[in-house]
Order: sequence, then structure tokens, then C-alpha cells
Amino acid sequence: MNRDDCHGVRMSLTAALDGEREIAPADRQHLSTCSSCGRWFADMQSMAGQLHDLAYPAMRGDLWPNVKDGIGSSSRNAAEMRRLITVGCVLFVWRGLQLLVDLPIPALHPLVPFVVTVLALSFVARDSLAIETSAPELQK
Amino acid sequence: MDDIAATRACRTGNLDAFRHFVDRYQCRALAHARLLTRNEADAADATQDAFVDAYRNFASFDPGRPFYGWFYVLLRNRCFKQRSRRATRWESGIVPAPRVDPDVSAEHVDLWRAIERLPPDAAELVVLKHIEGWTYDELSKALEIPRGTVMSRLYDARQRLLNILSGETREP
Repeated sequence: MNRDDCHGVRMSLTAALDGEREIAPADRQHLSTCSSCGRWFADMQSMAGQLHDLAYPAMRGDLWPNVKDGIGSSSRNAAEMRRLITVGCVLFVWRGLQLLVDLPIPALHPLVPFVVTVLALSFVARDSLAIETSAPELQK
Repeated sequence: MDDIAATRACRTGNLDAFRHFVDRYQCRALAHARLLTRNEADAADATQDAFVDAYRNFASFDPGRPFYGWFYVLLRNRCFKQRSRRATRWESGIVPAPRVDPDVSAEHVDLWRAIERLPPDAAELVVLKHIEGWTYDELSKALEIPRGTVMSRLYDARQRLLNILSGETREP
């Protein structure tokens, strides 16, 4: 029996074993005449059966507390980034206005970015005045 | 709660509903991550990070498809990142002893040990095909390789596994 024939037939039988195709008549014929492939196919079927019944190894502990912390810290990071971008945008726009337009009442100019930033944060981050703490008694 | 109800709840921002997915899939995710990273700590980190990624990107999850198929792509990416970060090489022999239930048969323990002796990509294919029952098309999509490559790699992986189980040291 040609070694290449055996290899091709085994590839094809593997797909049949996986339920992806029917066993071709030529492969069936090959199996009945090639004892090596016959043994190989029986071994493969047996191994596939064992693998099918295989359960995942048990794990100790629970990932949920760490996952929950991870989600919390990633949300906090995203909120911090949003705040930072908001403040940056407000200052940038305000500085641009100062340079391009002759704005009235210069005495109030330092207050404008502060007020606009607080308003923008309350709109964008919705927690401009929130105080974050890791102290459990305060979190309650 | 089933996946559909949990998905609906997660979409409304209910973090506790996401616990359903962690509880249901953490065991298999950790087993897959362990096969890909070959390091217990890396596997735990990658699995946790993948769940965080899943929650953050939950809007892109199509509820009409199985959760684990979608999640597995995130897990795989995290495992590769973890592996490159620590430059862990599977050949280095950092293969933890499999954690198995005391009730699990010796035959199954041997089978897990044999799977863990396969290269990570081969072990991954064997587990996804035989334990998860994925089709060639699903494997092709998740692993981003052509269907024909799935077939040939799976053939090689099973041949190696058969050789390991039959006690042969020589691999094809």
C-alpha cells in the first residue's frame, strides 16, 4: 500500500470522524484492505470517544472578585480619562477664544474656565464633584 | 439565569448579571488559558483580563451567537499578550500539574497530561474540537486560519496525541 495513499485517506477519515463529511467509498475500501489504517482508525475513534467524555479540570477559588475589581478600576480609569480630556478641551477652547476674540470684562476671565470646566464635567463625567475613596466605611 | 437573560441585564449596565458569565465559563476559560500560556499565574491573569475586556466590549457581543465563541477570541488575545509580556515559552517546561477532581478517573488525568504535552496551538485545537465540539468553520473563524489548515493541523495534533498516549516519544 502506498504511504501517500494512507496519509490522504487518514486525513479524509479524520474529517469524517469530526462529522464534517461522510466516509468516502474509496476510503472505506482502503480501510478494509489496509490493516495499518484500520488499526489507526480504531485508535482514533477510541481516542475521540475518550476526549468527548473529558471534563475540564476543577479550579480552586473564584475569579469573580478580581474580575469585579478589574471592571471597577477600568471604569475609573475611563472616567478619569474623560475628565482629563474635558478639562484639556475647555482650557484649549478658552485660550483660543482669548487669542482670537477681544473678550469683554477681563477681570472675570480667570473664572470662566473654572465655571465652564465644572459644568462640562457635570455633563460629561456626571460626577465632577465626586470624591473617590477606597475606605470601606466611607464606601458604605 | 441563562445567557440570554444575563446578556439582557448586562446591556442595561447590571454588573452583577455579568457574574453569570464568569461563574459559568471561568473553569473552561482557565483550562484553555493554561494550555495557551503554560503558566498558572499567567493563565489566571489572562482569564481575568479577558472577562474585564468582555464586560467593557459587551456592546459588540451578538446575543444570537454563543457567548463563549465570542469570549474565546478575547481570551486568546489576552493569553498571547501575557505570553509575550513574560516571554514564557511553552518549551521551557513550565507546565503545571493538572488540577483535577479527586473523582476524575486516572484515564482522564492521563489524557489531560497528554494534551498538556502538546504544543499550545495543537492542544488548543484538540480541546476546542473535541471538548467544546466546535466545527471546522467555527475553528477557522476563531483562530483566523483557513478551513483546510484547521483540518491538517487537527490531523497532526491528534496524531501527536495518539503517539503520546501510546507511549511513543517520536512524533510525526
